[in-house]
Parts: sequence; structure tokens; C-alpha cells
Amino acid sequence: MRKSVTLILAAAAAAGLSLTGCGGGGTADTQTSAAGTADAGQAEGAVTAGTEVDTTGFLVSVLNADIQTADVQKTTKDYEIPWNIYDRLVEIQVADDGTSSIQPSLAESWEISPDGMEYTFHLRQGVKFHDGSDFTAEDVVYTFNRMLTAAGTVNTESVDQIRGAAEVLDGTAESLEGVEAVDDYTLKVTLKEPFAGFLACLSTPGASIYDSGATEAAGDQFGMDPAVTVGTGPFKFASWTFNDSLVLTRNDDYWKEPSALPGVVIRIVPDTETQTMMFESGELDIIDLDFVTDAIDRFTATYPDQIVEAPRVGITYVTMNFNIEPFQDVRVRKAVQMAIDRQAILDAMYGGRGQLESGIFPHGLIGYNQSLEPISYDPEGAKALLAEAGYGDGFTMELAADSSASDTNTMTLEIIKDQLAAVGINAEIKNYDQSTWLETRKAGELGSFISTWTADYNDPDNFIYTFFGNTEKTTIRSINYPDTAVMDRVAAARAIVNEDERIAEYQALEEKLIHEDAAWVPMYSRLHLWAVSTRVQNFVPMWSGVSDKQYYGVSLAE
Amino acid sequence: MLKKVAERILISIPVLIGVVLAIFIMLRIVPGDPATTMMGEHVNPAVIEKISREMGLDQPYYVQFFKYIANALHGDFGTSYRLNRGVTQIILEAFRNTVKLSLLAAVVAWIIGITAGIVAAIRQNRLLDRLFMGCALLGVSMPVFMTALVLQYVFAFKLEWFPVAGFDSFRAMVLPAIALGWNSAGSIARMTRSNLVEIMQDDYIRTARAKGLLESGVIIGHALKNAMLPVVTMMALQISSMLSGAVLTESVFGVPGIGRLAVNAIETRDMPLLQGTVVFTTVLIIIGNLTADLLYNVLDPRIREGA
Repeated sequence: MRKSVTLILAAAAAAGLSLTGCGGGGTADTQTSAAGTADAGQAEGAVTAGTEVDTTGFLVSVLNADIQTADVQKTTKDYEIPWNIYDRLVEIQVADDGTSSIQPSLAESWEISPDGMEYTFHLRQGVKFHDGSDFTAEDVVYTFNRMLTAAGTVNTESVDQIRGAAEVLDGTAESLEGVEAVDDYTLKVTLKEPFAGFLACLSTPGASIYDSGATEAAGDQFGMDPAVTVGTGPFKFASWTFNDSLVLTRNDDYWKEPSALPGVVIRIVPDTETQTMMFESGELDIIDLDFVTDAIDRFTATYPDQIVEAPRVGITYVTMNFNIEPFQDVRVRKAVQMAIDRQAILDAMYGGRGQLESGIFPHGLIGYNQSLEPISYDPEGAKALLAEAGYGDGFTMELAADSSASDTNTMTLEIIKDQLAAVGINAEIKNYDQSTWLETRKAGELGSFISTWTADYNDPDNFIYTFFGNTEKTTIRSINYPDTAVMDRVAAARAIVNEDERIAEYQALEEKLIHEDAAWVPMYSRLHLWAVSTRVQNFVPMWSGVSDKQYYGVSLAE
Repeated sequence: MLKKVAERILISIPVLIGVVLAIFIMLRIVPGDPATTMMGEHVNPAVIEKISREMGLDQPYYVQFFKYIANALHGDFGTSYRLNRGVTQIILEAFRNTVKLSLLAAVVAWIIGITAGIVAAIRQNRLLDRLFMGCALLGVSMPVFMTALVLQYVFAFKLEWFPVAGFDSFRAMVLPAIALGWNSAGSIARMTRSNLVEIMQDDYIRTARAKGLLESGVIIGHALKNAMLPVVTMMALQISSMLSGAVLTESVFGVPGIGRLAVNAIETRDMPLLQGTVVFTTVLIIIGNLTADLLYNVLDPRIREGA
């Protein structure tokens, strides 16, 4: 329970100190609480790794916390370095009109069997890893196998659908049956069942291709020691000074045009004030305004011509746990949908920077349905529905807050609480420490919460399957959606080969889930803003609007 | 003397094991598991099972415990789940900041505490005395985290004289050092004052005065030396309370030290890291207390062996 668990343990740790302190007859303090934790960041001492690099002429950007590792198979969040030092078989490219498509990268071309089960990739020849070794099909076979077998790997989603993945993961098979190097430059992948989103999956950072020889030799230092962390990407990982900076240098032998930048310095600065001051004094070229949310208005006013914005392909949603009384009643769920004034929240919390969403697939995602009927803010209608459901006098529900989440998150819950109170629902905000929150959610027992899901790959499957793919999926999100027939359709849609048919099915399912069954409250998708220095040219955010940046293509004016 | 030291060290071994066992059990009975926390939004039961297996979390608790103790005896405290680095290395690096904070706090405590104590003793029962002793009482009675929050709110948040958090500049270190040092400053000031006041009644002080020395000369040259004896031992004993106070101060001000490390480790159920910090701080405190004991022996002849 709740945050108190952290407090009890913190107190116990502190008391442990005082306890032994009593042995000397000292005047040990007996503080029993670690309340009021101001989190300035994750800084924890400084480790130096790598060598000194001359960084003259480098672009300087910033992160607010250091990464855990550059081994992308061992993280599901530290993508900034992987995006720049590795390549994938395919990449997502965004056209000028905002639509995105899958483009060849390390795979030059591919064929898909008519049943959608077999993928044959023809790999690019003459590509070299940073250590000079050649890229071949064996490297891909190695990479996909390592994802499932190496100690500490967690980022397995891109190969989950390959035949034999589950067996390797649970230890009953030693190697991935569905991946085979036909020759040095031909790779055959067999899926366990047709999956239309597979190519998109291969474009995610988790599917970055490693060098079999170098990675194996590096052992657990891969991703930790820059010297042995090699890829085929446009930048080399040059140095890492823990909690201080990460340095990337240009790969002059890149198989495409080498980067216009000689390199990139990524500074680690937890303090938002310091970040702001650094940008103002010209020490930073790119600053993510997500890191300095309090200062966004100041930035947009001071540097109107230096703001780069991108819509986030991600949906913020509020859940209603079907296993918790009275959310079994569709009228209650609809009432909650109608009772929340989403525009007011978007305006108050984010200065209106974003768009309301009414389904599962946000703006910018393939399959986004612009003719989906908006959910209207209608407190009177909500009251009427509640009365009809027998809750005219309201009811009490829980809003579960993860205490490690941002202040914005907490304040948003406060607003929702007030809005629900206006229709007679007594929402109580309950604080959980992060681990307890996640564990309770996984068990399917968490009350209502607010969260955001941002696209990993551009396919509706990445959204609908994550939350409504099957009973396990909907349980671990603490939604507990009960209609297995609908979930079977969600799973079956993965195998529909005809693209138009597949999208139509997804949109029908979205309508059924959100508008008919009111399975969650869709909230909004937000804009993401960056400020860049006047010398930065061609900075393009990632297609999904996430914080990680790709520096290839960016240049600095003289 | 040597025998006493050896005895104290032997006694501390069961203390150490007991502390580890306590934190070990606590971490395993609270909800939340490290593998699930590591996965975050990308929760996947099959992968959670895989990493739990790799981390040995699927084994019975007693096996996990004895393995931990066996490895620790070889100096291997494991790898942090969250930071992916050796626990010993992480702790030593974070400890630098804790030492910096504690030393600054100690300087604050000693300078302010001793000065205030002397001034109050000279100005006994007058305004300055009342004022200083009031502040000292406040310092002694307020828990460190409370002091920290109040200072942060008033001087960083409202007046904006200092940064709210961080530890990378001298300005940023001021508030945490005061927050942590105030408590000790209070007890030092109170003790200095009461000792001085008492000693000033002694015969040899009257003799010194009779020699025609200035009052300040009497205090600094004669009284202070004797009044400081118990104060010095108290300062050594305060090392352990400083450390536990540092845990809380660091959390409030976001100082990247041992305390913050421990709190973050709790939040993410980073068991090896938390166990490591607990072992480390326990050892420190045992050493601190031992030193204080020995110092007591050296400084005060009255309690030397046999006394």
C-alpha cells in the first residue's frame, strides 16, 4: 500500500542508522519520515568512462537524467543513443504531409509470402560496423536471438511474433526457430502467425542491429563501455561520463552520406533552472521543453522563431476497472466519460497545446478515424445516466496516483476529482509508490488512473492490442475488459492481409470499445515543443513526437 | 584498550547481519517487485518471468539471503537493477556528496554552535542569550526533514535566494548544510553555554580574574579549554545522527548522495543497491561510534580504563 510503503522503508532505513547509533550512547536523531521528496533528477555520483574527445563544432543538447545503458535490448526507455549509433532493417520516414511510411535501411528490399507468414529480406552489402567488420545476415540472426536469451534483456517486443520466440524466452528452446540466414545477405523470418505490424515493429529502436562478433566479445560491457558499443549508425558512441555527458562522433564511413555534424555532446542536467539558463546563455543548441514545463510560455514568447513542435502520436487516457464496483455498468462508465471536461484540463495544464481524442488511435497514427464522433462534455447528461443506473446519489471511486509521476499528473488528477464531484461522484486520490502502483496494476487491481501511451511503431495494433488484445493484456493494464469476443477480433485483426480491410476492422473495434462499451476515457494527445539555437538547421523530431532525438540530418550554420 | 576495540568489532558483526536481514525481509514482504518496476509501461509477464529468473528472484528467500551474504563476504555486493552498475562503485561515488554535505553541516554546526554558546554564556540571561538559546532549542527540537522543508519553502521557494534543489554549486549547498547542521549546532550551543557558565564559577577562574586578565582572556585562555572537552566528544558522537539526517536532507533537496540513493532504491525495489547502502551506512556508524568511544577515552582521563 500506497506511498506509506516507501515512507516506512525510508524510516526503517533511517531508524536503522539511529538504532546502531544508540550503541555509543550518542544523541542520535529519530526522524521517522522522509516526506516531501523534491526530485531534482536521477543524478547519483559521477563515473568516467571512455576517453577525452575534442568536441569543437559539436552540437550540444541535453537530457534531464542519465541513461541506464546504450544496449537497447536492456531498456525500454533510453533510446536517445540507440537511435543514433545503430541502424535497423527498416526505418520510419515522415513525408512533408505528415504521413509516415516504412523505408528500406539495412534491408534493401523484402518479399512477404501471400499468407503473411514468411518475410525474406535482401540485405544491404558493403555496410560496416564502427569496428570495421562487415554487416551480414548472421548479425541479424545473432541480434534477434540475443534479445531473448542474454541476461538482462527486456526489450523483446520486436521479435515476439517470430516463430519460437516464446519457447526461447521461457528457456525451453535455445535458439529462435523462425530466423535463418539463407546466405550472407539474405535473411528469412517466419512468424508464428500472420502479423501485419511486423515490419513496423522492426523499425523500433529495440530492433537495432548489433555486430555478432563485437557484441559477444563485449559481454555485459556492451552498452556500458562506449569503446565496445558499436553499431552501423551515422554516429559512433565516443564517450560517457556518468551523470555528466554522453558524446557521439560522426561515423565517416557511414553507408549513407555522413552526417553534417562532426559530433554531438549530450549534457546531463537534472535541474530545470540550470537547463534554462544554459540555453539562454547559448550553451545549448537543443532543449526539450518537456524538461522545463514551467518555462514553456517564457520560451515561446522569447524565442518565437526558434520553437520546433511536433504532435505526439500518443493518447492520454483514464481507465475504469471493470472489476471494481460500479464500473461493470456501462451507464456509469459513459457518465464518467461525459463528466470530464477534457478541453478545460488541456487548457489549464498544457496551455491548450494539443488535441482532444475520442477513441484509441490518436491523431497521426495509421488508422486514426477523423469521423469518429467526439465525446461531449455533458455533466447534466452524466447525472441523468448515473440516476438511471441507480447512482443518483453518486458513489465513491479511487484515482490511483503514482507518486513518482510528475506534478502535472497529480494536478490533472485533482482537476478530474473536482469535475467528477460536480456530477456527484466522490473520487478519492490515493498515492502509491511507483513499484506498488505498477505491481497492483499488473495484478489487475488498480483503481482508475491517468496515463499516456505513445506509439512504438506506427500501427493501430500497437495501441489496441496493448490494452484489449486478450484477457492477459487487459488485466495487466487494470482495465479487465470482459468481452472476449471483441478481444478475439482485436487479435485476429493482426492477421488480416488486406490493409484497407484491416484498418476498417480496427476502426469498427475502436467504435465498439470506446463509444459503445465506454471501456476507457480518451483524453487528448499533446504537442511536443523544443527550442533550438539560431545556428541549428533541419532539426526534425521523431515521427511519434517522443523526446528521443535523431541527429542525423541536422546541421549547424557557420 | 586493544581488547576493547576487538570486542566492539566482534559485537558489530551480528548487528550488521541483523540489519541486513531486517531490510531483506522488509523488501520482500512489501508489494512491488523489481522486475515489474523495470518493465514500466512495457509490462510483459513472459519477460518479467525471464528477468526474475536471471536475478534469482524465483528462488526461496533463504537461498537468496545466504547467497547475498556469501557474495558480500567476498566483497561482491551485486549490480544495481536500475543503474546497471556495480553497487560498491555507485555507493562510493554517491558517498562523496554525502561526505561533502555532512562536513559542511559539521562546519556550520561547530562554528555557529560554539560561537553562539560562548556569546550566550558571556551574555547570560540577557537578550542575545535568550535569542541564541531560543534558536538552539528550535534546532534541537525540530526533526531534520522539517527544518529542511521550512528552509526550502522560505529561502528557496518564497524568497528565491537559493536554488530549490541540487548540489552542484556552493549556493545550492547552503540550505542543505544549514538544515542538517542546525540540529547539531543547537545541542553544541546549549552544551557549550552550560559548561562555560558552570566553569566560570570555579576557583581557578577567580584566580585568573584576580591576576587582572581581561574577561575575554579568561574565557578563551582558561575556561573554554575545559568547557570544550565534553563538547568535542559530543561532536564525534553526532556523526551517526548526521548520517541519518543526511538521508532526509538529501531527499528534500535532491542531493545525489547516499540517502537519495537509498530512497530511490526503495522506490524502484532495487534490492542489491538498497542492501548495499544499508550495509555501508551501518559500517560507517559502527566505526563512528567506535571512534567516539576511543576519543572519549583519550580526552577524558576520568573514564580511562578501570575508572
